[in-house]
Parts: sequence; C-alpha cells; structure tokens
Amino acid sequence: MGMMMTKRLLATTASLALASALVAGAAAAQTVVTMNTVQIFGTIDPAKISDYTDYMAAVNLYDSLVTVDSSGNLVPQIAESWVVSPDATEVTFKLRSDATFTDGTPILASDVVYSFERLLRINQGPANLFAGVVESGAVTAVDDTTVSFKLSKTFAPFMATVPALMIVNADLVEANKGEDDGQTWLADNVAGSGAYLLDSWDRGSQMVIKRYADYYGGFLDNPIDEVRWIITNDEATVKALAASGELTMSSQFQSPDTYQALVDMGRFRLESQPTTTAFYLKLNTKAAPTDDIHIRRAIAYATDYATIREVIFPGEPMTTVLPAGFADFWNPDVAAPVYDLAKAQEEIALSAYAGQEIPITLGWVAGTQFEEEISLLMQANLESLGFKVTQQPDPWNRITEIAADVATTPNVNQIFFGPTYPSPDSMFFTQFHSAAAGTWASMEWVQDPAVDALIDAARATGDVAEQARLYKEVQATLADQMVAVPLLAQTVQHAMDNCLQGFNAVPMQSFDYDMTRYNWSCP
Amino acid sequence: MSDLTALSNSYQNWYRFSRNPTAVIGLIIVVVSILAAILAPHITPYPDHAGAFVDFRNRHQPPSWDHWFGTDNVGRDILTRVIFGLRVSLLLAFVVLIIAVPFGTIMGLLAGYFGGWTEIVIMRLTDIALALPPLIMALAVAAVLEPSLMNAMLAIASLWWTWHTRLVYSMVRQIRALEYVEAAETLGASKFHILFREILPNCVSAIAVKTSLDAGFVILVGASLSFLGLGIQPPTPDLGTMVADGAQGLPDYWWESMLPGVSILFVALGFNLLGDGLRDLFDVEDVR
Repeated sequence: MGMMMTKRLLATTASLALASALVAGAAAAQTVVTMNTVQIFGTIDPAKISDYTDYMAAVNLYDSLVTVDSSGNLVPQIAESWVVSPDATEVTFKLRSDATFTDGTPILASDVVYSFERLLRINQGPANLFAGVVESGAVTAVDDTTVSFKLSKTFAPFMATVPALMIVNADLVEANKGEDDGQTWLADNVAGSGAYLLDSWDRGSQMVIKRYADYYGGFLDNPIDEVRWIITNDEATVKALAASGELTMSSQFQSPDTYQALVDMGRFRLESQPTTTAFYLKLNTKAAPTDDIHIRRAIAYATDYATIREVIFPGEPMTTVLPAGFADFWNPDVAAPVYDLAKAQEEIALSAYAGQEIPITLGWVAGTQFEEEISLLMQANLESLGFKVTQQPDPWNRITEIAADVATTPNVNQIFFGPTYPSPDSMFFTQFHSAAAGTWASMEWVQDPAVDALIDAARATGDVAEQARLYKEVQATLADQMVAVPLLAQTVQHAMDNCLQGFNAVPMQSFDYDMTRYNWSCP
Repeated sequence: MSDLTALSNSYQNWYRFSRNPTAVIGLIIVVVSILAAILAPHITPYPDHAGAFVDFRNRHQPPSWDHWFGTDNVGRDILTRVIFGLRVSLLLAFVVLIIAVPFGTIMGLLAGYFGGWTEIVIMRLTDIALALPPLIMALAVAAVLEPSLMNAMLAIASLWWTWHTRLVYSMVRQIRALEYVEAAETLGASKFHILFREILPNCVSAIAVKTSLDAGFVILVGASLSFLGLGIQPPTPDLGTMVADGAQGLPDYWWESMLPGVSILFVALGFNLLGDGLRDLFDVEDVR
C-alpha cells in the first residue's frame, strides 16, 4: 500500500516536472553551445590560472578592470575609464558605479585591492606579470570607485597585463577563507562578477556554465545561455559528437582532416583567423651540434616551410621571431628563411662538424600527430644531408622538466608561444631574456647580454617608436644567429555551427572565448 | 632400432598434427610471419618506407594496387610498415619468453622437488606476482625508468615467469612421486641430474604448449603498450603505434588503423591455434 502511494506520487511529480519543463522551453529556447577542449581545466581560481583552458573558464566567470579586443586594444570592463600619470608610474582607474558581483553586491575599489594582494600572496599564475613592477601595498583604494596602482619603475607593458588581474568578491572570499586564503573554496566555487555562473564541473570530462541574466555588462541579442565544454582531444570523438548534432564549436587544435570532415557535414563553417601565436623550431645554442651557427643555419635551410604551412599545420609565413601581427614592432628588413638543401649543404661544409655523421635530437610533444609529421619531415631532409637523427617525443610535463637544463634540452624543439599579455614584451622577455632561461619558452638558451640589454631598454621606455627600434634590432640579431627557426604564425581555426557568431581572435590567451562576445543568429 | 622408433613416433605425431586443420593454419601463419619479418627488406614493396621517409603528396591513400594496405598520414606504404612492424612484435615476444620461460621453469622445478621453505617462498612470490596486473605494472615501471617499450616488456617478463613456475610446479609434484625418480635417488644420482635429466624432459611438452600460447599473448600485450604510447622511437614501424596513430583518422581513413589491427589479430591467432594444436597432440600422447 505504502509502495503504491509512493509510486503514484512519483509519477505525478514526474509528469508535473515534465509539463513545467515544456512550458519553460516554450517560453525561452535556451541557446546551448557545446565545445570540445583538448585538455582538462586545471583550476578556476583567478590567482592560479595559467594555461588556455584555465583562462577560458576564468574570463567567463570573472571580470577584470579592463579587457582586450581583437586588435589588442584595452577596453573598459569593471573600470569605465583610467588615467596614466605623465611619468607613466601611476595609473588610476575609475570603476563603474553599477558594476556588481553575481551575488548582487557592488564591486568596490577595496575588492580590487584585495584581489591584487591575494594574487601576490599566493604568488602563482598571473602573479609573475606584476613581480618587481607593482609591490604589495602599492594598490590603494582612493574612494569606493577609484583605485590607484603605483609602479616601482617605468614598465611599458604594464597596462597590457591588467586584464590578467581578475577581481574577486572580497567579502565572499573572506567568509570562506579557511586556512589557505580561500584557495580550497575557490577551487570549486566562484566569487566573481562574470557574465556566467559555474553550473557543474566534472574534472575529467566536462564543465558547464550558465548565463547570469542580471550581468551588469549586458549581452548581445540572442546571447549564449549555456556553454558546455567537453574534454577530448580525440579526433574521432570530435567527429562523432559533431555527427550526432551535439557539438557546436570545435577546439582550435583539431587536424585539418577533422575540420574538413565537419565542414562536409553541412552544419559547420570553418573560421580561420591569423594570430600572434608563433610556432618555432627552437635550437639549443649551447649543445653540440646546434652550438655551431652554421649547423643552425643549415637546419633553417633544411626546413620545408611550404609543406608544413600548407599541408601539415595551417599558418601564415613568419620571417622573424615576432609574428607580423605585431605590426608596429615587426622588422620587415629581415629576410624570410627559405627551403634550400644545397645551401644547407654549404653551411654544413662551413661548420666544425663538416665531413662527419652529425648526431642530432628532435624534440616534440608525444601524441601530437602534426608535430610527429613535422619531425619526420625534418628527419628525412636532415638525414639526406648527413645528420643522424634521434626522435625524442616527450609528454608535455616532461618537456617542461627537460627544458630546465642545457644538457637535457634537445637540439631542436617544436614550441608554440603566444603572448600571455598583448605586448611584444611578452614575446621577447619570456623567450629570449636570460631571466627566462630554463623554461620551455626559452629552450634556445640565448643568454646573450646584448639581447638582454635591448629587451630591458625596451621595457623601461614609454616611447613606442624607441621600443619598436629596439625590438627590430633584437629580431635582426636573433635571425642572424638563427636561434629559432620561425615556422609559422598560427592560423587559429574552429569548425563552428553556422548559427554561432562572434569569434574574433584576441592577442591575449583565451580572451577570445569570452562568451558575451558571441550570439546565436538563427531563430 | 631405437632411432627407427623415434622416427616413426615423430612421423606419427606429424601425421596427427597435420590432420588438425586449425593447427596447420596456425603453423602456417606463424612460419609466414617469422619469415616475413626476417626477410622484410627483400619482400616489402617499399623498404625505404620503414625508415626516414615522407611523401606528403601521397598521404592518406586508400588501399590500391600500388599500396595494398593504403598509405598513412605522411604517405608511407602501410603494408611495408606492417611487415617491418612484425619484427618488433616477434622480437618482443622472443625477449620476454627467453627470460620468463627458463627462469619460471627452474623456479617451478625447485619448488616442486624440494618442497618445504623453498616451495613456500617461491610459490608465495608467484602469488604476489600474479596479483599484479601486467599492463599496469609495465606502465609503472616504464614511468619510473625511461618510458620505452623495451623497459615495459622487461617489466612484463618479470611477471610472466610465474605462470611457468605454477605449471612446472604442479607437474613436478606428480612426477617426483613416480618410481623411476625414486630409483634414480636410490642409485645416488645428483639432485641436478634428477631435476634436469629425469624430471624436466617429462615437462617439456607442456612447456612448449604454454610457450606457443604465450607468444600470442605477449604480442598482444606489447601492442597494447605501444598503443598506450610506450612505442619505440619513430619512424621505426610498430603495430600498436600504427593502430593508435591511425585511430586519429577514423572513420575516414579506416585502413590506417584497421589493417595493422587485423595484422596483430592474425599473428596472435596464429600462435594460439598452433598452441592449441600442440596441446591436442600432447594430451593424446599423455593418455597413451
């Protein structure tokens, strides 16, 4: 009897729920975007984010004082305006008076101060952008809606780093502070002012965020109500998701074949845009045989640029270590490297290793098909010139380890590097300055005092023309030394549902996946 | 006279073996695979495709008269690479079994014949080793040492001997109670003589059956490990890696993963059929 009652009750409840769901569905069709990511989301704590998925979640869950548009310009977000002092050592931001966190409380200058101090205390993720530039205590609340940043020295790229400082709700974090500055709590919860709320997160498989309708910044017409990120780097799975109608947008790391297969389905179009992300063969200048400049030049001549760009991985030609997307700073006088095996042979003859079998290791990310293809292409060309190639595929976490030591860094390394803030400084300081030695981004081990001096000088001047002159000189020096073979500037590609609009590449990591910039163009 | 008996015995054995069609198929597959692997540079259509070779204009070609198994993502002939890939698979099986079988057999002989503490220590060790899943063990060892296929297979070998120990142990337990062994003991034969000249010859047929069945399993495990990323250095062809790489192109370029996969299936099947055939053969003899 009891059982029967319960069953009937359940049935009634279920049909009621179904009915109300139908009513809701009729009232407002939900626009859901499903996108695959090729790696898990490591963290959503804005004081710890570092890679592309971390930033992708964070730009939707949190807001910054300013954000970046597709031309690399800073645009207001929480701050409505800002003033830079004449000597470029103090910046004062005026906050929007209507800006609120997603719990409805207003965003105050004190929240900005708290977010900055917390970032420095935890000292992970974006903290290194501010190290030595803005000290603890140098960010102050002038009044509720005015906040001032005092710089320890003139640092030209400072404004470009501000979008990486995401603002947390100080009261909410304090209430859940625990023993570790809220790190445990913010690992699973959000205390931000972003346009989206975290709905569910299953670390190994997916993350779902939902639109916060009362977002102070507003939305485009027909905004995206829900975003589902599905974690898979398997090409066959992506194709299956697309064929079943589940996928709305692919990741930017699929193979050309997968993009083509999706486009052939008819529902997708291929979005293709140039970026400032560079793809290099980084040559270890401190280990034999790539310590010899002629061997490095020979490798550059033995690289089949056209096949790499046109068949293996889409990209724009790149002539110097800086992608041409940095138009004001790019050096047009550096000649583009060319594929010429005869010239490569001449360079080898000039080297200290002439007339012998030259052993060389080629490093790349294990499991990445296009990198294996490039490495096999390099091997075929290099062995025809008398090199003895050892292929060294390593998982990414192992590459970050072997990059820490000259002796374990392979001779040739396939590395992608894109600016982590929209400034050429991000490309030069992080890759070619001695201070960056021992990281995966600087596997060339340049360690050249002259190069360091040029980069330091560019960081210390506020004069853009002078910066451009200095950066052009760095490019000429590095090209002459051939420390890194510039393969291509990545063309970012997504297969996107014909109804989804709004993708525009931004020269700052994952800011192009801020979903408030997208909308749905079909009824 | 005794030579004649031996001859007619082995002829009888061969006759009975050849009446078993699946066993003969197994034998043919095994012999052809081994010959193909040894003669790979001479019989493959494009021997240079096993080395540093790329031809991006001919990538992803479906099976055709020129390329029976099609071409892969950098334009290499898949049939050539499958045949060269057999070398790695068979070599791995050989390495694992050449370590595991003699060692496991000796351990089984010692445990079965001496009993007591020797038996307890050896048999409990095998229990422990059998409780460890070989794939997981191989991945763990490879993670600690250099992540190479050879290290992973050595880890497999370090667990595989236990199967042979248990097999030989159970046989020795029966044989040592037989009168001829007691007779040898009474005559004052050395323990070494009794173990290796009196008992071991009576275990050989069982060990041979088990070894040929094992070969198929080891090839499968090796392929699984290289599928999981513990492959040998490219561009050396390796069947498991070819399946893993080819799977990226599914379903459009099905031949790139399916045909190497079917090749693994065939070789493993061949060894299993051969092993089953041998078992039928020897079982009958035991009954007699």
